[in-house]
Amino acid sequence: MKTEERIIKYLDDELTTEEKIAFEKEMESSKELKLEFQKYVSVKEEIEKLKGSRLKSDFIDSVLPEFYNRMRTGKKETIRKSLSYAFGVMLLFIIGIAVLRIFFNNHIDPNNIEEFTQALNENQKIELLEKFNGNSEVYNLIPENDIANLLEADLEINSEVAEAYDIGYKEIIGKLSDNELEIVYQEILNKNFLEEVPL
Amino acid sequence: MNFKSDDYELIRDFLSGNQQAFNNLARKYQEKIYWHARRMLGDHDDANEIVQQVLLVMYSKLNSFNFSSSLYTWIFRITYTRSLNQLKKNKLKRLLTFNFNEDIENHGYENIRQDLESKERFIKMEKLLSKLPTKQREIFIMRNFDELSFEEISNITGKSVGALKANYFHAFKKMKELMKKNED
Repeated sequence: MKTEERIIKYLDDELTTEEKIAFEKEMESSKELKLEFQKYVSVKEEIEKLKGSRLKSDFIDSVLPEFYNRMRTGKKETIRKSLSYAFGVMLLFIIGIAVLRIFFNNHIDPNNIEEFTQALNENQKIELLEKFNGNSEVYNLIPENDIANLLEADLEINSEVAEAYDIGYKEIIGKLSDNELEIVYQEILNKNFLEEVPL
Repeated sequence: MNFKSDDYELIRDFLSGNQQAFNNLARKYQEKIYWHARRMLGDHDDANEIVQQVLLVMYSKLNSFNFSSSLYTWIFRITYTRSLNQLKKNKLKRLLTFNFNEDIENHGYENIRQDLESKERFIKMEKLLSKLPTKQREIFIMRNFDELSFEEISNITGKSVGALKANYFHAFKKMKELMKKNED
């Protein structure tokens, strides 16, 4: 048994009679053990002095009235709390639904043509371009960038065009004059999508 | 005085509708509850809160008490659990509010009967106890202040006597070192 353990057991009166006698004998001859023992005794002495701590009667007398008061208000508090929680849960549910609706709504700003065209599926793109068919007045109103985006969308549909000529859309546009671009626009917008577009 | 039969009669009377019987039980145990909580938590308001919570449990659950243990052990078990919960709550509260100052908020010394010397001794002991890890603090308090045996503490906490003894020895050793450091 370690020294500290023996000291603590001695102080807690947990040693056997023989162990106690042996411990006391050892302490008589060992200054270090005596010093160490005294440190533990100091702790016990402090504890003993504090065991007698008592509360003032004012406080003691206030405990039960506070208890009964809490019992009375506690029931109202419980109902109020339950309603608050229910309201909170409902609010979270409504917010959650609203967020999900926004998230899945695929809301696209109609003024943002690029976003609009990218959101179209193949058939919708075809339908859109067909609407522009031959109507130069319409696409004159549309900014050039927007036309470009629509045409990019078109080239996606007609990937065989790009593949057949091994070119990208920007390469086409970069090399053409304004008049030639005009012709290309008209051709693409008027054409049958399965036909090749001569350049 | 036979506490067990006294407690039995008081419980029986309370369950028969005698409110005064409950009041008598509350007055009998409220200080013990307070002091255990106070030494565990180191704060007057927290200790008072534990007293209120334990009384509420007693009030609502005494009808299910079956005398398999003494009433004091039953009440102590509730006090011990609630005190530990409050300790965890306080730690979490400090963490969430970035308040890493573990100084006691409300000593509540005005509620304790003591002279100046006792007050200083009391403050010193509270500070030392607060420096012990929770497991060591609880066993140290229960052995030295609540004067419970290892078997009783094992019954209350559900921990083995061996583990309790090991924690107790560590706690006592640490308290000795802390006191020595404090004096130096």
